[in-house]
Amino acid sequence: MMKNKKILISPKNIEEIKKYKKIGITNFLFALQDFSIGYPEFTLEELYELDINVYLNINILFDTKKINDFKKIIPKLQFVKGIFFEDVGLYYLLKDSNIFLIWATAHFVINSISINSWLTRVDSAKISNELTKGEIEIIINKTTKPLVLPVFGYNEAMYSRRMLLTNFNRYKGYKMMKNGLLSTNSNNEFNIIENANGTILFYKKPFNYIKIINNLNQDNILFYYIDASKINNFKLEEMLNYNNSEEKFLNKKTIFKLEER
Amino acid sequence: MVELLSPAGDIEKLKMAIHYGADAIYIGGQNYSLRANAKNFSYDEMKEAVKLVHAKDKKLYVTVNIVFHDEDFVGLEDYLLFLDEIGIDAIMVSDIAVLDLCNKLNLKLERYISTQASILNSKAALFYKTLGATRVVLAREAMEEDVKSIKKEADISIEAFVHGAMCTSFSGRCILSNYVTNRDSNRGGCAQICRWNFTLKDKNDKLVDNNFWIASKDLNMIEYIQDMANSGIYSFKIEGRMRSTYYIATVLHSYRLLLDMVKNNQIDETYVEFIKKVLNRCANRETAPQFFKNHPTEEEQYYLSNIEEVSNQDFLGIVLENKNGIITIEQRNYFKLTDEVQFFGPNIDCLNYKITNIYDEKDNEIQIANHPQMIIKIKEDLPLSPGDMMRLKIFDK
Repeated sequence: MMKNKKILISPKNIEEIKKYKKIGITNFLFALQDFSIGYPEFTLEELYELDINVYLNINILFDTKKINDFKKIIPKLQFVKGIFFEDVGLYYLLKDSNIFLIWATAHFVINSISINSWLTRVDSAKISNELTKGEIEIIINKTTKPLVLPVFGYNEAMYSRRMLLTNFNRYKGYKMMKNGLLSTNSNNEFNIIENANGTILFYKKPFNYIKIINNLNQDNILFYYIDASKINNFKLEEMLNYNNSEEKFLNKKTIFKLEER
Repeated sequence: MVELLSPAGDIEKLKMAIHYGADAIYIGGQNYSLRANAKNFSYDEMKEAVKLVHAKDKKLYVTVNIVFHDEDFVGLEDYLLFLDEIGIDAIMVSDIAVLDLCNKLNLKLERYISTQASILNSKAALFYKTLGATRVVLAREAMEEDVKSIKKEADISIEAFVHGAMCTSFSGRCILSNYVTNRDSNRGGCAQICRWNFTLKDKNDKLVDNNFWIASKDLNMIEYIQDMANSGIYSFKIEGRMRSTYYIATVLHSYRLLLDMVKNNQIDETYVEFIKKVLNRCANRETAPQFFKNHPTEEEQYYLSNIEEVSNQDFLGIVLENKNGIITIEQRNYFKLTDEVQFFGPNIDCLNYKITNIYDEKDNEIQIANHPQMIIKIKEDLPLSPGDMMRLKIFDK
């Protein structure tokens, strides 16, 4: 069973933190303003005051300007417990600091060998979501340090540097919008969110991997990660019992050669 | 010095790439490559490819750039040893486990970091350099200042795409294909969902548009080649291991001439304008420069309602022989007497010609060439060589 002290949660706003603290959750993951995409953003100033363990989600790829901007805030990161990073350049920049680093490159944290290679350099890794139950078990069993396992949230499906909504709205002369819902003719739906760093798509239905965690080696899980930032009035019990989740990958391997169909 | 890097999906295209002036060629094997459904190269074909390429003093690279699941590592060590043994010059890699394995095996072949790794900054390049990489293939999103900074601070060979298809996403950061078709994009199964038509609703679930697109135009960096070279890019890469022979020949021919002009510091703007038009027609999608100078706007997006898809009937034939004033040609698309055509090839920039005679294989005079791959002859004294291409004359130089 998931212990609350092992839960890492992304809240929707600062106010929500109190209710999580009441039930013993002390670890929180925040998207940092100007250095993230697709999540509610927080400033270092507003996080500094909180009596919790603050982890930062830096989920963008850094161009030269962005990495230079980030260098300027490094002295202000002393209170931060750890950083989840997408860009390996950020690892290289912070490798000699004392900051707890978690490799979290979207769609790349999918095999035990690469994870173990990274774990010789960093403190943990956040497993990507597009894996089968069996693959998750293998990774948890074979890796050399405890990992972060996302158990509830919305999976990233695509991240672009382009301003896809702005460009389309300009082309059509529509009113500007920064988020919306995309669907394909095969009835797959994606939330689309744009900010100055680009555009990101999330699968519309949340995933719920709570059901598989009892079979996993609990000792090798650092955190169970819950993204509650996109749900109104989120309650932990509701999440635990959420049945209408997507299981696109959990029980079905993806193929890549057409003869495998 | 700069390098023109061509794709090749099979041995025939590899020969064409050599013929049309590529300095180096990249291919994929039957496994571990991001074009899982291309023909790709068998072990024997890779051995042959090495011989062909090295005989012309060129280089051969192999993509090993899938993002690995645990099960995919089976056979990888033997595969890498094989590539090293047959003399492959470099592999293109995105997963650090492959870099580690190359180091452990002490392989001679060089390791280049694939664009899948989406490198945009010098720190990322330095990270991979510490793992033994000698070149980085930049993210297609890299801007001029990124290139300069990486060159200056990481001091590593830089490769950049200059022509071909673009992902809407950063490479490797998309699993739309996994969701929609169950085909794994990061293992070579991408179904190009970004080119599909979407429905867009606002956050209140109200319909905005039934025809929403996220696809971009293809990449075409012709007009910025000089600046790209000046910024520190060494290898100019053409995308398209699944493209046709005609496409490869046309694109290589254009960039070869242009890079030679860059080398001599003599860019001919008239030529640049001409090949921009030619390149826009040789695939069926519109092209545009992307990212290097400016972030893409709506002008660089591919909104289908605004664009006429170009039919690709321009490729008329390939010269097989030119002997005693008789040019033998293998037909690829319909043409007839009086058609205005152009020949181009490694030794011929662009030759305009109006067809005055056509003969079939039995030397009968005919009016039209209308059977795919039929062999025809044109009796004319023209400076053509085997491998030269004949296309419809759409634009004049």
